[in-house]
Formats: sequence, C-alpha cells, structure tokens
Amino acid sequence: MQRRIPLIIVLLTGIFGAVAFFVPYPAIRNADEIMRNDVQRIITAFSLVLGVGSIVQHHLLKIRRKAQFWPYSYITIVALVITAIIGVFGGIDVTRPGVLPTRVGNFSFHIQTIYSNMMVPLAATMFSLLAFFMSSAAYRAFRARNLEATLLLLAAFILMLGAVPLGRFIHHRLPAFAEWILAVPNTASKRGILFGVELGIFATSLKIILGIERGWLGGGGK
Amino acid sequence: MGRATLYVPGLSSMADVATIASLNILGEVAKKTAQFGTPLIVPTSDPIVYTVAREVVKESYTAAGRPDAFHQDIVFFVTDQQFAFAAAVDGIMTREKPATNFLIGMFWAESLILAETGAATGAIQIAGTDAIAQLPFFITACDYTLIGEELYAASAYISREPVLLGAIKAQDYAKALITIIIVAFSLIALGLNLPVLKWL
Repeated sequence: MQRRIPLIIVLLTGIFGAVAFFVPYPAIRNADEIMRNDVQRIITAFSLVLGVGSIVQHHLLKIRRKAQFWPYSYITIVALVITAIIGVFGGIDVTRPGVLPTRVGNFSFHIQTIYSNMMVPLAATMFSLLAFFMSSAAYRAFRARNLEATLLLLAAFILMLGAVPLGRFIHHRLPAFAEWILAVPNTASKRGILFGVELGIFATSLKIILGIERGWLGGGGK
Repeated sequence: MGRATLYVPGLSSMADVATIASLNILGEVAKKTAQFGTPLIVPTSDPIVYTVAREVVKESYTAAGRPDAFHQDIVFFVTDQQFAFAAAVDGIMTREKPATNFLIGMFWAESLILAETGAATGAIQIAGTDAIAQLPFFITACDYTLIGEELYAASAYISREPVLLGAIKAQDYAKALITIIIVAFSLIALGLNLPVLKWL
C-alpha cells in the first residue's frame, strides 16, 4: 500500500496532464492550470520546511560530532536564523516596515538590503569565476591529443578568426565559412542529440506514469 | 581508499525528467557505495529532490544489506540559489576531496564551475546531462560524460532489468525510424521540387 498510493497518484496526474495538453475544453484547461501553478506552489511551500529542517539537522550534527571544519556550520546556522528573523518580522518592503525595525540611523539591514548587498554580489562573484574556469577548460580541450581534439581545435580556431575583423583580411569568405560551421554541422549534431533526448524523456515519462520505472520510489524495479 | 563519493543530482526540481533519471542512477550508485562501505555525499538544491533522494539512498542501503550504514547526514539540502549551491558543492569538493564526483541531472551555468573544481581536486568525474549547452563543458572537464539520452538509458543499463532494457531497444528503433522518415521525406521533397526548395 505504501508504494501503491504514490503509483496511483502518479498514474492519474500523469494521464490527466497528458490529456489536458490535447483537450481544449476550458474546464480541463483550468484544472490543469490549478494543478501546475497552485498545487505545485503549495507543495513547494511545505517542502521548504523539510529543506530548512535538513540544513539545521545536517549542521547541528556536524557541530555535535565536531566533524572536520565544524566551525563553518555555526556560520550557516547563525546566518540562517538571523536572515529568517529579519525576513519574517522586518516587513517585505523597505517602505512598509514590519514589527522589527530594520534601520539604525543610516544603516539598513532590511531583507531586501541584505539580498541586494550580499546575495547578489556573492552570486556574481561565483559567476565571474566562470571566465577563469573557461580558460583552463579551453586549454585542456584544445590540446591536440587525438583526432577529435584536433578537429575541435581547428573548428574553434576558424570560428574565432571568423568572428574578428582579422578573419576577413585573411580571406574574405572566412566569416561566411565560420557561420556555416555554426549553422550546419553544429546545428545538425545538436538536433541529433535533441532527438535522442526527447525520445528519452518520452520513454522515461511513460515508464514512470505506467509504474514500470520505480527507482524514484526508492525501491528499484520491485 | 576510504575517500567519499560525491553525487550531485542537478539543480532542477522533480518536475524535470532528467532529475528523475538522475535519482534512478543514484539508487544504483548508493547500492555500490553501501556494498563497499564508501562514504556517500549527496547535496541537493530542491527540498522535494532532497526528500526523494533520501528515500532512494535509504532503500538502496537496505537492498544492499547495509541499512545500518545509512545515516541522515548522507543526503542533505543546501540551497535553491544557483551560485550559492555551486559555492557549497565546490567547498565540499575542496574540503572532503571525494575520489569520485557524479554530476548527473540538469545543470546550467554552474556546470563548468563544479566540473573544473572537481578536476582540480583530482577526482574521477562522471557527468551526465541533457542540457545541450552544458555538454561541451562536461566533456572537457570530466572523465566520462553521459550525452543526452544516455542519461535516461544509464539507470536501465545498470539495473539490467529486462523491461527497462526493452524500452531502450524500443527507443533505438524509434530513432532509426525517425531518421529513415527524415531522409526519405527530404529526398521526396527534393525529387518533387516542393516549395521547400525555395528556402534552400
């Protein structure tokens, strides 16, 4: 029964989702919208409690066991608690303060201020690391160790030359050739992968809806 | 010996089929780590994925005959913020130095950040995604990459279940059929001088 109920829910919602896509009847479309937006949002809101519980449990366990680098766990817990208190009691908007004052003189510690001045710059810093990782990855990829790597290097070299004014000076048809590499062989291989992906998604979805694939239930095929 | 295995099931939710396929593979990976007594680390970026992944790992440890080896700390939720998650996983990679990194599921711009950090720590890396834009990064930085549909075939291939393997065979037949249809209709269009020629 523990397995049968989730399987029945998946079967019914899966079939309903597929039917709603093809049936233009307003009542079915509305029900589908409610399922996709409202029901999903409610489930996500509840699951967030599980997520927060997991973070707290994970880090408290680390602190209790004095695991490797356990002092970092204090930082996570303290940051989580402070941010949650400010977020819950400090009001949603800077112009509409909550029960907790979020400004001391000119210093603001409103949730929006914390987000804009801490989360956004930190995320941007991580994102900017991508530039350095790209150069190290490109160095590794462009070492002509075998035929595939040599082809990759050659294609990248032509594309880079085609994208800069120097390429036109070398040969007037080089930019067009670079464009052709992007538009024809590149698109063809991408579409080939896409065909496989779409068929894979279709087959996996069917297997899940019909209860053939049960790995997500935690019990493999049994 | 004794170093951990890190498994990242992507950054998407359970609504993504790639995440479900990844969790199927996680089940098989967890069985192996349970058998060999290897520590497993599974950070997740979605609370629902966290719940499902925890159940999958728990069941796998039980199926492998090692329910005692499972503990709540194996699977944990980190954050749903893309780069905060990347920073946390990078931290795990550099601190814990796992011997194997699995990056299987749906990834976006953080794919190369994770894969390059993993490569720098010297871990064997196995990646898999159906996000075409991220595939070149994984192919470059990882030792093995499951490309596109291989992600969906992998769990069936590892489990060796006849019904699931049969579905893969059916997919291959469907692909062959689609290829034949595309080629045949392209030839017919060219032969009959259909308006499609005006676009060429």
